[in-house]
Amino acid sequence: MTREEENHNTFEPAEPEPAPDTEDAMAPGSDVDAWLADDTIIATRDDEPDSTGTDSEGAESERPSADDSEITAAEPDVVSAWLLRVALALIIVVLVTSASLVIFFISAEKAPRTAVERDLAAAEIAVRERSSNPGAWRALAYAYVRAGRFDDAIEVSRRGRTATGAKALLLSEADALRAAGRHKDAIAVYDEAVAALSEETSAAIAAREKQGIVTPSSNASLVTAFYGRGLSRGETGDANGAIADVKRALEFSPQQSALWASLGELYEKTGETAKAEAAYREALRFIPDYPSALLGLKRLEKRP
Amino acid sequence: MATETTPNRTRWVLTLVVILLVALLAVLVGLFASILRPVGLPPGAPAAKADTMEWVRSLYGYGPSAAEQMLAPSSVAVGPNGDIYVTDPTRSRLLIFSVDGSPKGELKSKTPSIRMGSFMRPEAIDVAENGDIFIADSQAKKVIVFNRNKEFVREYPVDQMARGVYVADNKVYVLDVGKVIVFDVAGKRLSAFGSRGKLPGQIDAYQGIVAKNGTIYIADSYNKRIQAFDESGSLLWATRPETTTSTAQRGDAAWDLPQDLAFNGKDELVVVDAFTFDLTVVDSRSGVRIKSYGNFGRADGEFYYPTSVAYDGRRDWFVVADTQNNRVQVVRLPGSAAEPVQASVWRILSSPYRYLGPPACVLLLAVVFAAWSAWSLQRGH
Repeated sequence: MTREEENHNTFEPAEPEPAPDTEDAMAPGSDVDAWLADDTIIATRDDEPDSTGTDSEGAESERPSADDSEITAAEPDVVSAWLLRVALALIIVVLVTSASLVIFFISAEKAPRTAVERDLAAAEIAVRERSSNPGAWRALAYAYVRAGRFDDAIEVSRRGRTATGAKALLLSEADALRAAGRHKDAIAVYDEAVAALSEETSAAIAAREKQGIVTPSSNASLVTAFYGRGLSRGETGDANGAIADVKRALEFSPQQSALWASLGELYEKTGETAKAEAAYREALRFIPDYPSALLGLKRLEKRP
Repeated sequence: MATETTPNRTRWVLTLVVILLVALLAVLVGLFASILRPVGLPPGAPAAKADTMEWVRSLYGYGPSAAEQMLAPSSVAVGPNGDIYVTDPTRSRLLIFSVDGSPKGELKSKTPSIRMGSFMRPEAIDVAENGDIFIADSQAKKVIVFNRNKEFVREYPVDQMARGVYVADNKVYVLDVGKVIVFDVAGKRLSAFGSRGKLPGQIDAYQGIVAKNGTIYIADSYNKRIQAFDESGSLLWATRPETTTSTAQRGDAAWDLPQDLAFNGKDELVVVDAFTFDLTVVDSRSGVRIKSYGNFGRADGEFYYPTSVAYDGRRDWFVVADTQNNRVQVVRLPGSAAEPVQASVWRILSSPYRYLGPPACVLLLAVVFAAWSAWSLQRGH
């Protein structure tokens, strides 16, 4: 039942009253008057003669539903009109943004803005100009690692290996995998790198020995490979494997504070504090203020 | 029924269009911001702690190739509109950058020589208020002047070697070997004083000279001290010379190779020391060190044998020739500004992110328009 129907059923005046002035109906503080005025207006509409000649009672049952449908149709129109305006405004914003982007692209210089961008630019040019040089590929791979583009670093290491045949690029691939947090994949590539680099080192030493030259079995790449694999093993929870790898790296390069400090941290993780302290102290033998070794010793001092 | 279905459908379609447009706008803004943000920003940049040096940007050159980049830039200056001037003596050229770091031009002699209008090794530089560019040529024994259109204006011959140059109060102060020569801007030699040596008042400097209110300050590099003179050459003060080269014995608060100096917004001196890899704020009345900022390193925000410094007072930032890193860095030091609020506004206007300004303004207008539309339609209804 509509309000108008309810009005006619329950609030029908005994005698028709003249319609009050609208201003009177909207007098301040007169809610009831307003309500009455509202009803009176409806009643007044109802009292108006129908153009089709039907009586007001018959028309009344039709008209409220017609009013309702007008309201239902009008509301979406308002919302749609608003949405249309918003859409047009957004189109303008998108166009201005696109234009600004294009203007920036046209006017922007390609000069590097940070050290990482500079290294990247230099390495990309080096690979273009000297694609047969493994060092150029390696530099590009590590530049990508520094830029956080790990997938590109892995891809470039593989492409570089294909282009130059240099097995040393296994190392940059493994380092990129480790930097990307893919430690299991990294360990697999480190294994490959260790095998290949050990073979290369042995062959080089044997060749020199034939010439009567005795050389130590030092190989910076091999040190990096053992160290990197040790770090990845440490990340996967294989502390003993990690310690073994860092010790292998130390066999080749016993004066690297970073290796000793890493060994100390690994011993700390396994709870071997005496060995950890010894490793930290060894690191400080070569660099007396080596920060991570000093921090490690402080940590050990605080332990109960 | 038809009158109810059609508006509903229209409403849904328009809602979908609006959502798609908002998504497209978000993608565009994200793409824009990611392009504007350099790869490999130093940790914490561009924000910085209140009491530390803040890295603003680095300038490497005008392109990606080695030839397009700087090679051991030796000196920097800031122009009246904030343009950054850099001498690249190894390549006998001067590079000019705008405030946002984009390259603006190059000044180079067609055939580097000692002839009039040419230069060979532009060692030091300063830019006058009217935009004239003063270049100290250490090989051609002269200071050469170009106007803002890079046209040759005049030369100032010096006695032995033009090492440093500074322009202020219509005077040109030139640092020669152990000597300061003062010219007027027309090229007339006004005075000269000093001798090379280690005694107080004697000079053995590389390029650091500035002057203000009749006082001339010199970064006396090889004597490991800062000295202040009056215009007649009388020594006003000198920092205590160091007698040891051991860092452990000297402590941190000591000069090692002060190369250049500049005034900040509070008329304090800011000295760049190549061997301690830092900038040090110094009281210009007494020479007392206030605080040092910076560390050795190759990353952005670190220094490797920095040799020159200049100050942009309008934007409150320092331009440093980070020589061994083959770059120029723009950094900020806390408490340097005379007018910090104005400087903040100027910095925003000088940022590469200003390209986002027009879209942001239009977006703001669109939001206001949408709100107004909603209000007016509701009112009309």
